[in-house]
Amino acid sequence: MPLISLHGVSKSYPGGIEALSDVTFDVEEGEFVFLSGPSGAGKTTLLRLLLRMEVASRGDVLAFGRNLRALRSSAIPYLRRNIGVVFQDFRLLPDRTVAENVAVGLHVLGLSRRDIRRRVANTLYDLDIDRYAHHYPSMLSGGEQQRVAIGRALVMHPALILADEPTGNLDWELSNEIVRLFEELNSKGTTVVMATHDRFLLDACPRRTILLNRGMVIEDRPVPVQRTHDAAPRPVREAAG
Amino acid sequence: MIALRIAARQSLHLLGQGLKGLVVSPGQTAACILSLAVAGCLVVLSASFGSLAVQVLDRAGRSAKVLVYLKDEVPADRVKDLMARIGARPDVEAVQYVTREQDRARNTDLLPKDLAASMPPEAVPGQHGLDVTFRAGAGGTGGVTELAAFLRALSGVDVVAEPPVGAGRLRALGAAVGFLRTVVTMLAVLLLVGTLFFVVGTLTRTMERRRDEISILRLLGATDTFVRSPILVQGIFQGVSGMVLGALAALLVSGAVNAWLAAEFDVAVRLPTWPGLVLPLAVAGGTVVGVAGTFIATARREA
Ligand SMILES: Nc1ncnc2c1ncn2[C@@H]1O[C@H](COP(=O)(O)OP(=O)(O)OP(=O)(O)O)[C@@H](O)[C@H]1O
Ligand SMILES: [Mg+2]
Repeated sequence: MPLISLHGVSKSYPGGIEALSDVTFDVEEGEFVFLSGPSGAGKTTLLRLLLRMEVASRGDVLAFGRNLRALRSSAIPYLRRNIGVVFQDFRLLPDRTVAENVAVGLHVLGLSRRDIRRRVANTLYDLDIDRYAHHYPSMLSGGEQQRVAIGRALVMHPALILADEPTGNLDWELSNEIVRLFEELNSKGTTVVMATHDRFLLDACPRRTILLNRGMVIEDRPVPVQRTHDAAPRPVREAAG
Repeated sequence: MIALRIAARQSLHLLGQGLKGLVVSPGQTAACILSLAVAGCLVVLSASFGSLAVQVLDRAGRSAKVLVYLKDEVPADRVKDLMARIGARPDVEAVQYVTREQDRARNTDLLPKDLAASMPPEAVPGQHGLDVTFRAGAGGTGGVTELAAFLRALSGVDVVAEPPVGAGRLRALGAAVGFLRTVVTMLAVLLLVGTLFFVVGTLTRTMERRRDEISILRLLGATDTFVRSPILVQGIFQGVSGMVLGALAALLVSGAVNAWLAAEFDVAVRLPTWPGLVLPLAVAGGTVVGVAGTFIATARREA
């Protein structure tokens, strides 16, 4: 069963704007998918549907085997605990240190202080930002801030990462670095869906690419054969409650 | 077991988050608690002054009796006629005949015990007469004086004993206290409603301050309970601490008023203080304010 499955999904906003129209595709567990297309193509809207921040106007969005339209609102938090989100603008809390920013979601899980400290330390180490643990976000470069934001998502051990233009505020070299990071995570089994309109990045990292334009899928280019990963996918946590 | 520990840890974390909310705008929080205290204090005081007013009016009403002593030779049918005439007045509640023996018994009661015992019963004076009960509310203090003048002018009446001066003073005090109670109750209700919105204001401010954090928490899978309970903790803390402070202040004020009453009026009238009732009620009231405030704040702004 695919991890994500969209069937004839449309999303219209009041005022007749059709952000997505008749979108159909699947994403299997362990896949790395780029979501591409010009500004206004509907990339962000698609990610918002997957996070159940919006509900499709028509069609069905399935994630982790659940139809998101039928999801009770009390079950939404448990859906989201399987998904790590990364944004273009990082969305770090300026009055919290790097370690506190990364730890913010762990309190939701009710982990002990010791477990939180250990998980945060490991995550900061993996992302090579452990030396900034007690710094504030404003003291870091853009690339480092994005690593902190990625850390905040990864520390929750998500089965799926949704990244919305995570390299939009970074220069070429840092962008490349961030994508390598996602590829590394993917090689360990995490499914990654990354929205970007950076053509150079798409060329440098040949991956399956879903091209959107005006809300429609105009191309679904498969991953070039030489670059498949056979790592076991990260198991999906059972949604409690 | 594990679920219980997770719940305990989360509760502790959320409690901490709630208390942190108190210092988001410390000035506003302090002002909020203070005005809740004033409102709570006024509510308690108005209840206790109301109870005092009832006591005082009751006492004043009971002492507003005019004693009419009749001349010895007034016959029984003349007494009946007098009672009918007096009873017909609108400012008279009741007229009761007092025999010589009844009056003697009363006078004996007034004497010191040992003196009364040493005297022969006939040595205590006794005179027949009428107990005229003044109808409270049919007139002011002037009403009693006017009634006394009317009674004095009747033929066969020997002496008219007006109620003691203290009664009029007490009645006036009772009326003043009753008025004060109405004013204070209205003020307290207004203040409580105003303060509720003050509480809502501080909670909204905290939510505003935490908006980015809350939207991140939502994306990381925080439940409604997780996001909202710190707000509830903050609201209940403000509500309970304000109301309990107010109740304590009210107890202090009634203590002072009682000391003054004892010194100024030599009467057994006291402001009632119900510490065993007021403090639990303050806690309950504060909780209600906190819960209502949270409800309004989170309904107005999706947290
Ligand atoms: N809340 C909304 N209300 C009305 N229209 C919206 C809303 N959100 C998005 N849209 C519209 O939907 C269309 C798709 O927007 P979306 O943000 O998904 O595009 P995008 O591909 O992410 O663009 P970009 O690359 O600029 O981020 C746009 O025309 C946008 O104006
Ligand atoms: Mg976008």
